[in-house]
Amino acid sequence: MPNDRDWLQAEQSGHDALAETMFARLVAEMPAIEPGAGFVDRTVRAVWRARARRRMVLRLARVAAALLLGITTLGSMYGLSVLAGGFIVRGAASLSHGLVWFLTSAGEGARWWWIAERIVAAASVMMASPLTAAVVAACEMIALLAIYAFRRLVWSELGTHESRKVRT
Amino acid sequence: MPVTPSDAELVQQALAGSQEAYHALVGRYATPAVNLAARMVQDRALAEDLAQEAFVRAFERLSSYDQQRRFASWFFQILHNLTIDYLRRKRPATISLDGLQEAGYPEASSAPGARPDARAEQAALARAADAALARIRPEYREAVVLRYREDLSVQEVAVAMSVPVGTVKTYLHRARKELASILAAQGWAAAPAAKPETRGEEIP
Repeated sequence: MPNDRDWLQAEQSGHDALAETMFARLVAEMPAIEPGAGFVDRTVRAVWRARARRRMVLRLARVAAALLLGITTLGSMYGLSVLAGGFIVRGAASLSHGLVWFLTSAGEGARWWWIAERIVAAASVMMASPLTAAVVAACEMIALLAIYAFRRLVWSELGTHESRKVRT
Repeated sequence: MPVTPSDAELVQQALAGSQEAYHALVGRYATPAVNLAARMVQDRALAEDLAQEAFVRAFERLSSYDQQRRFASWFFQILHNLTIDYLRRKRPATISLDGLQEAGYPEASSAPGARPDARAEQAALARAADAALARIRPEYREAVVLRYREDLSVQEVAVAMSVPVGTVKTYLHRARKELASILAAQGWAAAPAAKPETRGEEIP
């Protein structure tokens, strides 16, 4: 029956492979160091406590993230409402300008210089406050184009009427 | 006959929230974990703390466990990192054979050949080798325990210890040589029939 001392003999005689085999058997025979009573139960309780703590932290993090998102959203809405309010006021001012211009320039012909001045003014505002100015300027341009188109329509009707008058 | 669930099955159940599954997994690896940790840090109570912490971390990272890999090697890698971190912080001194008994180790025999029975002598040699294991470098000890007690392959030991395969082979080789020289110095001769009391006689 092989003896563990054969390991020592194999080591001393240089039989490496045999020495490793015998040594492996010797190590397997070493007494095991057992954990104390209740180790497994204590460990599982510790694991579950850590799990509960982690879930609580995750829940708190989600609530904090939702609050932050809500505050940011409300703040943005407030900020945008201020911008939107300004946009509405400016849009109304542009429309009123356009209407006044229409009323004063209808029949005299388009005052292109006035249109040019408005374009330059819009461009300067756009450079100062790009986003708002872009939106407002776009609305102004749409309003101007609409008024221009309406004028063309009115002039074409007037022109036809005059030519009819001349012919008759 | 009840079928014993595999480690992978227990992991799946534990991930689904089954405390019983993780209890079974801890029960399966409690002794190997404490065994390895105790031989690394030379303190049984501390070994239990480290093993417990390893199980807590293993549960936290259970979702990242690759089921293609043996659970043992993955778990021992976590335990290895914990014990190495502790050893780097504390650097425990090498303790004597007598000190091992106070630390909760099995009784270490420094009297080879005290029992005439061959089987008892084998047990005594195993205990002496166990005590001598405490006197070699921690990385050698760890490689020996993982390879020969926990039956991990050399590749798995290399992964658990985060070293190359060649380094593990070096550790194992040097551990064997150092243990052999320590035991020889204690009087454990190579001849099966010879007793240490008769040291000095020529062995044919």
